[in-house]
Amino acid sequence: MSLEGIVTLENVNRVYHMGDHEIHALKDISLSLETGKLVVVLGPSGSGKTTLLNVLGAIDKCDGKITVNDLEITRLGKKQLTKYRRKKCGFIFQFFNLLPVYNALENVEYAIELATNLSRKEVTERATEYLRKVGLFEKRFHFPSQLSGGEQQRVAAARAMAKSPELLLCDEPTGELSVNEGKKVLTVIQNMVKERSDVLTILVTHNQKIAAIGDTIVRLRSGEVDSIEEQTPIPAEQLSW
Amino acid sequence: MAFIELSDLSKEYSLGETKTVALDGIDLEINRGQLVILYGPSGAGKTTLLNMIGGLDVPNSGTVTVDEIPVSTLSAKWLTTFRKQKIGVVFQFFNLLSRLNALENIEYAIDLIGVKQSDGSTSFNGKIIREKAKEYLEKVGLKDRMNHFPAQLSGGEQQRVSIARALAKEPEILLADEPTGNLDYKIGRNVLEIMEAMTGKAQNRTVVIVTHNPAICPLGDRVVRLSDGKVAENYTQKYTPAKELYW
Amino acid sequence: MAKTVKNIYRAINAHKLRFLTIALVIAIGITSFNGMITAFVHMTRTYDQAFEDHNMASFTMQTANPGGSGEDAWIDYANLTKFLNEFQEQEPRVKAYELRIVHNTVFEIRGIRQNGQIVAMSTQDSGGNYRDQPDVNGYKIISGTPFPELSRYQNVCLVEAHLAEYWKLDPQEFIAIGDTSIPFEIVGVIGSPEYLINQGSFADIMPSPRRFGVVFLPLKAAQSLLGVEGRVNEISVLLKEGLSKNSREKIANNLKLFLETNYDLKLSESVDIDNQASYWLLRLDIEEAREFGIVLPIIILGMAMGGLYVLLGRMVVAERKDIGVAQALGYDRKTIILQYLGISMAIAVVGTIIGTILGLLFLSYFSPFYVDMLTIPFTPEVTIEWPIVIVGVIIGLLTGLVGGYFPVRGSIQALPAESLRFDPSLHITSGKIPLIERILNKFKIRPKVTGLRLPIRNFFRSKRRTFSSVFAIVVSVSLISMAFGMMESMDRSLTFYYDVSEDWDLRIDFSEIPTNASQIARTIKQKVAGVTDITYHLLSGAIVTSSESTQGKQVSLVGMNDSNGYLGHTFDFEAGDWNPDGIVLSVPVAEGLNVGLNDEVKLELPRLTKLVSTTPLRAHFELVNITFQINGIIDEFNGLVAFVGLDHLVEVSNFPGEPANTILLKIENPTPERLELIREEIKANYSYNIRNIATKAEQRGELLDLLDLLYNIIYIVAIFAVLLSCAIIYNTIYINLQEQQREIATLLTIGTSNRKLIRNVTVENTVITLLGTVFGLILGWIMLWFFMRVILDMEFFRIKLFISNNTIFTSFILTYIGVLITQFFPLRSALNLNLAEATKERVV
Repeated sequence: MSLEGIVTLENVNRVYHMGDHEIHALKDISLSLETGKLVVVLGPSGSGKTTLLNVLGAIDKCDGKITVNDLEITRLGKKQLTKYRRKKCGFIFQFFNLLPVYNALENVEYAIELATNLSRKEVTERATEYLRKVGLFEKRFHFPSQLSGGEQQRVAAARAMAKSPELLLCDEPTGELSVNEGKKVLTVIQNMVKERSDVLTILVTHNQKIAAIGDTIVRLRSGEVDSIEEQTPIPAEQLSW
Repeated sequence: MAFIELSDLSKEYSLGETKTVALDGIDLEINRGQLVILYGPSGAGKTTLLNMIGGLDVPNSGTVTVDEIPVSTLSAKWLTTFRKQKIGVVFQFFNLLSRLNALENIEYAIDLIGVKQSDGSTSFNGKIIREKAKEYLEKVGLKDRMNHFPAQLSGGEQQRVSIARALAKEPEILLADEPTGNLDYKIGRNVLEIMEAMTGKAQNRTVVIVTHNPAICPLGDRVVRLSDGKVAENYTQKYTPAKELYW
Repeated sequence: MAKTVKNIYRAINAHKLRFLTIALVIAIGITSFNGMITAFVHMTRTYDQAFEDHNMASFTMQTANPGGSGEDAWIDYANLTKFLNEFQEQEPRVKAYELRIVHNTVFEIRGIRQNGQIVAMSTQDSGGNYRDQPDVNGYKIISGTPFPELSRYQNVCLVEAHLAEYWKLDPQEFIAIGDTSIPFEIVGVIGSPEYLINQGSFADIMPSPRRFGVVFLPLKAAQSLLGVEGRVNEISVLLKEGLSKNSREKIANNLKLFLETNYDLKLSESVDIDNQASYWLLRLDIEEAREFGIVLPIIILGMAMGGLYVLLGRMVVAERKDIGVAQALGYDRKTIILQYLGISMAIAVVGTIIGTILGLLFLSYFSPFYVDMLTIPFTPEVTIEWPIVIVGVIIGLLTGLVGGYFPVRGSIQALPAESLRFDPSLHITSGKIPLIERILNKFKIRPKVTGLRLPIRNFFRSKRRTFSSVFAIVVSVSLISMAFGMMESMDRSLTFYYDVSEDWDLRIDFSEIPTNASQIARTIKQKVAGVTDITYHLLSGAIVTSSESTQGKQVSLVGMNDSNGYLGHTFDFEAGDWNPDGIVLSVPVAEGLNVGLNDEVKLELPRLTKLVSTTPLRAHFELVNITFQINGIIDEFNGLVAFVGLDHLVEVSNFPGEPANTILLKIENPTPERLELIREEIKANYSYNIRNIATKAEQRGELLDLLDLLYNIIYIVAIFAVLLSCAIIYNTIYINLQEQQREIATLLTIGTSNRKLIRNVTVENTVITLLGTVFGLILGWIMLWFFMRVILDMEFFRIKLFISNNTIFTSFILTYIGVLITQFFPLRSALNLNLAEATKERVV
């Protein structure tokens, strides 16, 4: 069986040491996820959901085996991991993490330029296109400090998606946003998922209501998979929390 | 007059160059000894409201009155005194001073007001302050970790230290901003239990807890739901003990 | 309170290295302050003590024509004693007097002749009893013995320390004195308060012991040497203590009047102790040491203050969250300010303690170091000067106070919510496209977003950040370029002086002025092979005055002879040109007199009134004021100098024949061997009356010896400069990267490679270094000017300010290396960040 289009985790463990404590953030997780889906990882604080996202994005290490479309990332060296993140992962952080010295367009351009070999003109065109998709065409020359939190997060979404990643990793993308702003961000993410059947989107949240937008819900509790549920997603505009 | 009275409170602040309306005409009364849950999604204005009550921030318009003190009109100097005498704060991210160990973090707070002695005087003696800090660490079950620095403590432990720090001043009002927001369920509930035990009816201490977690709402005598800077719901209820909460 | 102290302690502990660098800068400042100011006090006290112990004359007065041989050159010793006793009766403020011979002559030491001065006084008191010290102008025996009792008629002498040191003379050796080279046995080496600095007159700008030495003789021996039995030519008077210069001068005038009217003696104007050449120069040197001791620490501490300002300003920003928490707990603004002030004070205290201890430790080196450099034969007594130590402590603490208070006060918000809501990365970002980029865009230059655009944006992200980064570079570059510039300016001025201005290869000095200079020159040119050009000068001291200024300027006046277009000196004119009928002045003289081109000045010159003999030239003179028009102004190394045409000078001075005291030779292919051969040839054939034949290299060497002090000061400044630069750059670069941790983490997370990140940081720091270098060089130039023109302002040496391309390059490279080394550490820690943690750090 080809693993194309599939992300698998086999016996993934992650133990942190915090002072004298040992925290078992991920306990023997095994999962297989298909691309083209929006997977919501749900769980309370401390359930290991962010750690799961981190190990998938290769910004945290773990024991076990993780394969992304045939690529076994748990065996990659440091340089290859950087390349993996650059080409294949799109990140949406809870705290946006846009580069404050760059305006919206430049923030998106940065990721495209890094991941592709497109010409300068093509980079700009693609970045503009993605900003249009997230509804920020008019504000493309605004700097992060001139954008609201929701707008910043939508720029972050454009930045993550514009490079055509294989994985889109969203860590509490609405955690810092008001309901209205949050809904817009989720809509943007949901639309992107619909457009791209080759991308696996993983969205981590503690908010049960948000889980409704996912194709799959993975519930984590104390570092273990509690349940996996397939469902028909509800459009984000219809959510309320 | 209610213990805490907020009337027509509005606050708009700018971050970078964008403006956000955080509070939009809030009217609210809280009685002495109540445990109030301020519930709502991110961006609803919960934290801002909490900051107003605690004198950590001032409104653009409207008034805040606490125990007949016109908090919203106090000068910076008197606001400091108000916070020092009346308020204890617990933050979502614990915010312990990283350079001080658990015990010292608590002493740091007691240093401000000293320790009331049985004869009515106030002592600033280092030993007495240390004893009191230890006593509070013991109450949150961390006496054996008093020499640990924040970086050596787990999130739950840090939050317990932070609660001890807030309460060691024996404030009339305890404000907690998402105290369980960064904690695992079990640890979070444990933190709430501690807060419940150390406040509540017996101590006649007023407590305001901000949360986005609906499962915590039953803990309160009163629940105030905020939405887009406005009060969406405001009701009293018979409270449920923390140990019965589940989320 | 205890916790606040603990917090301060741990904050410092967490940033040990960075704080220590600033503490060290403060320490250097305090050390230099303590060392230099205390040395100044030691020196002043030592010399005051020396003047007092050895009864330095309150004023001296010579006969009207002290160098001559006529009746106004010498006065009978016995008569003069009588007259002075008489005067002393009516003027009780005269404590003591001494009748001496002070006479310029020639010494021959180890076969080499040189200029010198003999000072002679009686070895008996007024009652005819032996004494080992005169009543006025005594001396300190450094080695050997004083004049023995029976030495009155013996040819024995005491050698002044500078001369003895230069020639390494010891007792029992012989020194030949006078035109006829009479041998005198050295009985001792002495230090004299009159000659603390080896200086005969103001006119001699290079008082090297090779050119001027002092030997003390018993009066009788000197009288018979000079053929003036029973006579003297100088009166030194010691007055009661505590008299003002004014009253001293009044007494001196009364004495002059008394002797001239009552006894028909002819005397020259008295010289007050304040105007005595050595004393005056000594005070000038000490004053300079003192100014330097104040200015250098001020500059260093100012930079420490700047460093503290940057460090604390940014620390407060970074710890905004903690500040918010403390405020929320109920700590007031004052307490929080105090807490950070505590940090800066702790740094200042550590720096001050280290500085004070080092200052005290080095005390016993500092003062002797100075004294040694000034070649003064009196060793200062080293004591701890507590007032200075206390002042040092106060200014050290003030540095911490000022450097800490202002940045902290400005950065603490009134409300805790503001501090808690604060995003440091936004704080250090203005959210604008910098001007430079907009200009580049106009030219269609758009750096890539993953390329140069990021470092450019970063660099301009906020004024405060840019300012502090550039500040660090400016400090470094300015200090280094100033220090190197000082050395270069010195070297270049000297080189220019000897390579261009002084246009000769051999210089012959005569002991007596020959009046047939052109004939001597002609003969030498004809007889000695290899002499391509030859000319002669008449050198003398003169006072220049102008109607524009109340003060006169002592200059060495050079009467120049134009021998077929060869002047022996090449002018580098600031203004005007050479004209044998006018005068050429140096910049300091012109400035001092407040005159410019084509103005007129007066020269006080001796005019011959009666010729006694022509070979050697013996004559009577009177002083006359002659008006000259300024035809040129020059700025060259030799600062107190004026040039006039020799014919003009001879005419107004009424000299006979063609007088000169220096002959200058230009030699074809002047290798050292060749010069040596020619020197020997001239010595062998024309030795009569030739005092000295010098090569340029020798004269230059003598000068360099003299400039030792200046060079040493400059080396110290250079070392401080490099140390300071390292400290301040380390701090700034470190904070710059520390502030950007979350951004760096984000960049790494979205796939920026380490190499690209390092490149971006390096480019940014390179831009900072380049920009800082531009401002640093400007500041360096200003500081160089300040140091050389204001602090080390000596009008007798004019140092043209100069910073070479090499220095510009070196100060940039040194600074740049410092930047690259310091960026390594924070960069390494940023590259090893825990990305999961660093990207999630809460900011809002």
